[in-house]
Amino acid sequence: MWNQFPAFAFPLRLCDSASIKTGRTARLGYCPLVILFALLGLYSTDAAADDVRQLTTNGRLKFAPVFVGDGKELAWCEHDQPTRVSIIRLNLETGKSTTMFPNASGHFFDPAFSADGRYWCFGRSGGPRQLSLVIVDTKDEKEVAFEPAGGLRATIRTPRFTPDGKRVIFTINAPGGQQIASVNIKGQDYRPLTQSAGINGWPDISRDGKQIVFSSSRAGSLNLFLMNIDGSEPRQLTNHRIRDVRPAFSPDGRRIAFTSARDGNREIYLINTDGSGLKRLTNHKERDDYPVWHPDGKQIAWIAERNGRFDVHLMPVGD
Amino acid sequence: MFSIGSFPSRDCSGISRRAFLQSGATLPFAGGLSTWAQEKGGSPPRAKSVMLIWLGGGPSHLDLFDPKPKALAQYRGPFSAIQTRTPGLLVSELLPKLAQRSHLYSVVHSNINYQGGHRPAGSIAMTGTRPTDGGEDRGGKVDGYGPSIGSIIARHRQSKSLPGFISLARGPIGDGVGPNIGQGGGKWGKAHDPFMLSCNEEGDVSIPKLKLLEGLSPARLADRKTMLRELDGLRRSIDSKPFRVWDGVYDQAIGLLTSSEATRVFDLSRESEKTRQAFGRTAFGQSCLLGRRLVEVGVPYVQVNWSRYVEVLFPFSDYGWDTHSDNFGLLADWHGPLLDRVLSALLDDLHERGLLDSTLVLCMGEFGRTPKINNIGSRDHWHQCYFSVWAGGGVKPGLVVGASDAQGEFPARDPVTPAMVGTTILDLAGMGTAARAEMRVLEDGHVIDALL
Repeated sequence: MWNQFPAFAFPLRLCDSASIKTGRTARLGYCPLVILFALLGLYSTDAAADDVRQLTTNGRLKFAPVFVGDGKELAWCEHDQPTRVSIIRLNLETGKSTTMFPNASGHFFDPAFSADGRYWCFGRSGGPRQLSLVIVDTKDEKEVAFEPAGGLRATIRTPRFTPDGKRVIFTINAPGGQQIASVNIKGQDYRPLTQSAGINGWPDISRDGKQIVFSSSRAGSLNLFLMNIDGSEPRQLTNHRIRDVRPAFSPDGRRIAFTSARDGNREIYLINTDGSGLKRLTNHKERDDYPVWHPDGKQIAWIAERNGRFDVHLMPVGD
Repeated sequence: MFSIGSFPSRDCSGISRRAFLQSGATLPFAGGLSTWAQEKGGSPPRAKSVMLIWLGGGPSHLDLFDPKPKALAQYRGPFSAIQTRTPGLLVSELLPKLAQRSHLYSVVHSNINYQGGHRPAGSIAMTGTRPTDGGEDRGGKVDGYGPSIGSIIARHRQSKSLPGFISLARGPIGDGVGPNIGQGGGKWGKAHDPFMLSCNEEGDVSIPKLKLLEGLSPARLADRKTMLRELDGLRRSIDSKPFRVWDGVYDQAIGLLTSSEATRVFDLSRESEKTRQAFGRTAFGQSCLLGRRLVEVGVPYVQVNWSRYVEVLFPFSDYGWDTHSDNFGLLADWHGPLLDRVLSALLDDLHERGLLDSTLVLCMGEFGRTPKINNIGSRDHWHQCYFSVWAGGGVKPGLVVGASDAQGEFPARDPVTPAMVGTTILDLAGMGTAARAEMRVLEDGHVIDALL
């Protein structure tokens, strides 16, 4: 199991634009160092480490990666300018990255894409609300915006399409607290899915469309919960006093990747949907966060902070 | 490397990307404390330099340095409290590195302010005085405030080379409505405003003011003699205009341009990669590193601003601490981990270099945030009780000073006013009662005795 990610294993300070570098290729120039550190016991020679790929190198603050369609593309949010957050799309085959809305002045948060590729959505700052949900129909070239009630402060985060592409669920900061809710593809038919005390957020939907996993502080600290797609039958999945957040269903629906700071530092963990099989995937003194499953169910992309820089990485995940 | 209006750090290959002027001159530099006692009388200050880490926007005290794990759920929030090395001090789980370093700093839990708007509260906090004309939100003007603490110290020290008060930000700090008018000289005038520097995530340093000096171009500044001639001519030209735009700040800027030591100070690539990485490649991280370099050469007062703006999520904002919405997401994602990393790195760095004893580090904002979670699951402004973190420069570390009540709403004991904050900074910087009286600033102020 990959459990060590030494700083020298990748050319983190390359100043070119986003590019794809496999761990093996990127380390060619560091073979003597690798051998030295391996001898010193400071470098894991675990075979899986060779398959870890660093997908970006600019080091800017990044968050909320998601795969697009069949996984040939990845999108995320990035502080591409000092006062702007943009959505970046990277073609994993060509290495070409594209900034969505490059001339816009506002922020764009938390992209999500429908399974059939027709729709995508994101949070947009500006106008009367702080973050509105924008749903784009790429076929008809139309967009609709869902403006949450609550005036100037209301916010939409972490949208996710239902597998049938008919609804979008999200975290909403609006009267009633921070809850999880959904609207249809036209931004209408608002339905609250949680109405609990505490903070609720970071929802993800199982591929069969039957369950939602999310994080909630309704019982004290932030822990993972499952509920049915209509919000019924919430049940607690993890129970730790330090937060568990950002859960992501595996494509086969059996496991959930999530971020936890339970060891004092943010790492990526796995847990089965029945609460068994807790396993830590990363182990680094810096931050590992925002896990997202590749559609093939065999890899997880995440944002790793290394030497104070933030980049997208991709690692294999065993059964 | 060094260039007019911009001081780019070297890229990965160690070669400057766009520097077009290298200065070889040397001017007298800051660091003139060797004669301080003779010039000012009395004993040298405990804090040779002050670094104000300004968390503009209002950081949530309950979610950072004053968690309330036993409070009601609608107050407590979702973050757990963790132990520190200081008896009686808990911090939020968002600050694990700072928890491990609590022996280096003390925390005040009972700061108070007098107004709830960003600009007046910020001006009050930075000057230690209340506005005589109502402040920014009530039509007040700049001369309604006393000078900022940085302006006072700079004037007292009278550094003749590097500016005595340097503020690191992309421009004057404030909110979307306007700037904090108390961040500078106030009634003393613009000559006592901070010298603004900007530092980005790669460590490129620029002087925003110099970007106004049209007429300077790389081609015309190819060598030092040409540069000086051009600058002299430019100055005469500006001085002759009906509107006088040349002021002391320009003089200081030109001083920097002709100072080889400034060239070195602003060149963050001279730091080891390990040090630069420790601070993190964010504008806040590299700005704090630049701040430490300025302190190292004797700049008396450095203010590092988390953000130029304080309205998160609005267009053009850059994530101040004004988390009216999504407080718990934003703090967990960005604010908490960035502050934890950068402030820890700064304290470590100053400590390891032996500079912490002579450098006062103060980290605070203009107020805290509502202990009771608002109706959209976040927190709003709260000036009745908030925190400040103090380290070095004569402050006893490992203390908790004052206390908030069970819900974090009001001081339970020992409220600390902005005047007390200002007076304490000045006292540690060598401005006791007599010096304050001489300058007629915070004459009736009281120091926070428990910190000293």
